[in-house]
Amino acid sequence: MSSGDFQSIVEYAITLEQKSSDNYKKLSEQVTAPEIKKVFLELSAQEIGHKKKLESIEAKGNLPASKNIHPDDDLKISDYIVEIDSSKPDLSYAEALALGMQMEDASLKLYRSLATRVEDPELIELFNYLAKEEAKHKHSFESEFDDLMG
Amino acid sequence: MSQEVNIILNGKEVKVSADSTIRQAAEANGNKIPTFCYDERLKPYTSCFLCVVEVEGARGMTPACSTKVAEGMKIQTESEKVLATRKMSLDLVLSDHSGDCIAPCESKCPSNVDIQGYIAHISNGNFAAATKLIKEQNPLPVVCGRICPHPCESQCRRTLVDGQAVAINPLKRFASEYELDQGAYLPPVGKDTGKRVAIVGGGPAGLTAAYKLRQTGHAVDIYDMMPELGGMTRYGIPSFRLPWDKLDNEIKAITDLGMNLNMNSKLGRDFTIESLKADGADAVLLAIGAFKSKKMWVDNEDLPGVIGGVDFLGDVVLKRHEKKGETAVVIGGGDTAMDCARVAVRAGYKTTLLYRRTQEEMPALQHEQDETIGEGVEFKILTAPTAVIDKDGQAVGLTVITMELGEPDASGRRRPVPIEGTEEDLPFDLIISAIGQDPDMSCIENEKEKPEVTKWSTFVYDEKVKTTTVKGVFAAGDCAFGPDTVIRAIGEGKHAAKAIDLFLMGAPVEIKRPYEISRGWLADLNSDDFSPRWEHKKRALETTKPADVRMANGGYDPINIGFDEATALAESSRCIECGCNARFSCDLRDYSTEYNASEKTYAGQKRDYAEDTRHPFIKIEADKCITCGSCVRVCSELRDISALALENRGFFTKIVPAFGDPLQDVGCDACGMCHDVCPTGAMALNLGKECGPWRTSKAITTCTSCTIGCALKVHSKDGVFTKIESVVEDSVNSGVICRDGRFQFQLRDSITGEAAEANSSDVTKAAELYSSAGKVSVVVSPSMTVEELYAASKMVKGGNLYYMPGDVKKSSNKPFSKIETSSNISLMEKLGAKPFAGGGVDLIVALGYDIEATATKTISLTVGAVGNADVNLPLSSNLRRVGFFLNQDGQLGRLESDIVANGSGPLSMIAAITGNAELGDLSGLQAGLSSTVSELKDSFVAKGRTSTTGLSPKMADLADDSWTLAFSNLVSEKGL
Repeated sequence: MSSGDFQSIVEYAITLEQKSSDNYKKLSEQVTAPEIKKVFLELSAQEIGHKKKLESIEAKGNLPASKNIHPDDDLKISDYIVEIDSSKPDLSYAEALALGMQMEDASLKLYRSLATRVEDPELIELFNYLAKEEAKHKHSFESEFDDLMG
Repeated sequence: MSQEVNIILNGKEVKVSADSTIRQAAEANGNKIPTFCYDERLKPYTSCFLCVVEVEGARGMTPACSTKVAEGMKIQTESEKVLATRKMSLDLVLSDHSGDCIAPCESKCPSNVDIQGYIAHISNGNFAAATKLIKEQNPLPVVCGRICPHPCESQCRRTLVDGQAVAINPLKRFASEYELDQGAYLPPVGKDTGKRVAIVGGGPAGLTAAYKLRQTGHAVDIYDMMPELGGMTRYGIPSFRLPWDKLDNEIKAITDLGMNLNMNSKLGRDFTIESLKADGADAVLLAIGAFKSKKMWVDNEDLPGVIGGVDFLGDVVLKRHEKKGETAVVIGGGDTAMDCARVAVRAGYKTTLLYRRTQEEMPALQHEQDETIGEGVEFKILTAPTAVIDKDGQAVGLTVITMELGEPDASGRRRPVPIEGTEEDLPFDLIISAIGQDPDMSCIENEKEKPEVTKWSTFVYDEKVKTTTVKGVFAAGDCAFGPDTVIRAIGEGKHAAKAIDLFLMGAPVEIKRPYEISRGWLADLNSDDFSPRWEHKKRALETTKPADVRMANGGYDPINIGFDEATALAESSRCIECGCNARFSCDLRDYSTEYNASEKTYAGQKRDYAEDTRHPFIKIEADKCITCGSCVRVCSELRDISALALENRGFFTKIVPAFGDPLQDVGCDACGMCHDVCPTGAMALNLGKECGPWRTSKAITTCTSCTIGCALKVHSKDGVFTKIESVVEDSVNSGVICRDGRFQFQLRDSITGEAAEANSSDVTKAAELYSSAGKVSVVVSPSMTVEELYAASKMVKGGNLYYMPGDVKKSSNKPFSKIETSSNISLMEKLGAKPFAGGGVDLIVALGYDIEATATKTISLTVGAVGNADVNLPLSSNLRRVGFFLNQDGQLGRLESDIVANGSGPLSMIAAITGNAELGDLSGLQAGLSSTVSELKDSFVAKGRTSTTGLSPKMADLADDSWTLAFSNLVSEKGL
């Protein structure tokens, strides 16, 4: 993998995080309940945090050393949950989490798919890393949603 | 008059006596100085270093107890440095202090009900007092007795003794239902404050707040959207678990305190917070509960045929549910899910319960699960719905998927994960989603000043003082904390009432929880330290009816049977009384609360000593000792006995009886002064549940055990004497009392109390003997009040008034000891009394003596009515009397009591025997004495404990009376 490939892929991932952040920001403006506005603003800020992490990786030019931690289970809640109408002005916290998990799931699936389409082991490692990061984010949404469900 | 000096105290120039210590000067000017080791009766010691103040020019901090003031001295008693030093002293003291301020059961209870206290009442058979105590923290004990998940029992240390917690909740149920059946106790309503509180929601939180607010005198208006009060306890808990007659009666005992009820009245629909304020509410409490069922977030769940769990339960209560087909499914594993399933079965549905985890993870109590299964509900675990099946716009079943539990995640939970490809369709006619509920915040949508809400649909509020983001608006219960137990909501309501009261009274809205230290939770303790110390006894069980009996007659009869009286008494004896006996009088606890001290600041090793219970009246809990030395000093310095010692040095310093022998073998005469000066619970009274501990009422009375007439501070609770203490500022006997003064209350109520009152036939017989006797002589005893002596003198008919001379008994040579036998007989003689001669009359009435005579008839009044007279009548405890006692100095000491004897007091007995009510009338007797005995003319006017008389003391040795003999018997039975 050339350094250019690495840079451009990470930059793409950064763009996705920024888009997610913008999306949450938009949702925060759309909803009426102040407490849910706050939730979306926090999620937007969280995405900026993810973006910064990727920017740091981009600047270093390599991935952080992998930690040998058992990954969280995929709770697959986003696979079975009812479709959420994201244009509603009265989205609830549960719906915000559902939207979040679905967005993270989309990114996760994208990176996993890209990882299968390349042969360069370093590229595979990079996409797997990005997929893992999205899986972690997805799990945090799903576990919070799971807690809400008792 | 002593000379005065000028000092600058906290920046203010004041004149004080030149002889004063800084402590005395500060306290004379209203500045309280904390201390553990200072006692007016002892020399200053300053071991605790809590009394420190700042003196300008002095090196370091100055102990206020031992430092004399000097002209121009500049003293700071509350500076930051002073407060920090005191806190440090307390932190250090706490660092190795052991004990449990309150029992772990109380600590664990969300409303901090004094469980140890009410179990003690139950063990004494005082069930009404038990309920009264419970209701100080929880006005719905009957409700909780039926349905509380009793977190208290989860930390009961009885488990460490014989493996099973005390049956706390069944005991509460027994006592509170007993009280409800007898007629519920209504606490006094406070004096009207002119303030009005609107409470939105008449569930546990709202009702509790209303109950407490009425006691502080605020007017209360309750608004509730349902037709009847009770909230979730009525509309979310089926009546076979919580019978409505019990619920209604318990709620009535709250609303009977006087409150306006506005039923079928919903916030947001019928009124707003703003309109409540406009209508005169000075504060608003939002206690709207959580009545909105959580969604499942699966396709088609809004179809007809799908209903939320609490909606279903409410519909059944309101008789709005129409049966839909034959089969029902309930989704969820909590108590509401169990209730839904059981109600569905009773409504005639073949019912299945789906839960996405295993049965082990179900939040519902185990017995609820077992009973639900027993009633025919099929549990389908590790199964979750993925969609509601739609047929022509009607729900006809569920698509479900099998789940498995994943690995524990960062939170430690094993979360359910669907197994792909395991979906199946299950047909159901009714789908009940009982996975939880949220507060419905749509009710505040149109508020102008809307309280802020969290993302979990609860009010943003201060958990301690329950304030929302809108001034004057408070929130409590499920709508604030989130859905939780009834007892949690009760605790919330209680604190909200306290906070609202502070707010309405213009005080800072602050609630401080008293300091608590604990030996630890169950997991921190070792059963080897507990198991051998108590007799093992099996826990008593409530009787759950068999399933077929439960389901008979429609299934709505109560499903279980609580304890009977004998079971309750036996079970209460299993309580091992973990909480400290000094919890209501501990200086260490009070100061630690005041100064925010903590045992964690200098956390380290704790001392661990076994209790020394070898003395029958005094117990030493050495690991609670803070080595202030007060007990050692009072014993040596004041009593010249030295039965106590501090052995070892430093961390290992330990309070012990001298030479480690039992206290009674090293000269201790059981005066108990060590207990009075102990600032913690280290020098405790070796008493059991009969004495609490409870928060007591206190009366200052005069001891009649000997002629000194010391002041006694008598503690009592709900008809029971619990403790007697000395009165530090009392001038008589320098504020020291003896064994007889301190422990006379141990002549228990079965002997001296109301329970021992004379039976009417004995009184009638005595009255007949008296009325038929031509000549009557009366014997009086040295511990009688002047009023009793006077009334006794009036009983005499043609005979004599006698006192009973006795052998001289040597009094102890230790300072401040009881004076044996010697009594002031000056008033007796004034009333005509002579040494007992007997004979020559038809009847002798002996007050306080057992008398036997062959030639004449006799009536004896003795403790326990155990005697050889023709009629033996009981005498009440001395502590139950009122009046005045003449002491050796010719002073009158006032007798007061919070538990005055009715029928068994000497005056009542005299009135009953003579048939002359005037001889039972205290003020009439005092008037008679004032006019008859000129030396007593002005003696009954004084308001203080003592008053002077003109009677010159005349001392004589009299025989021990019945009270003295009974107490002597008691202590000898105890091995003293």
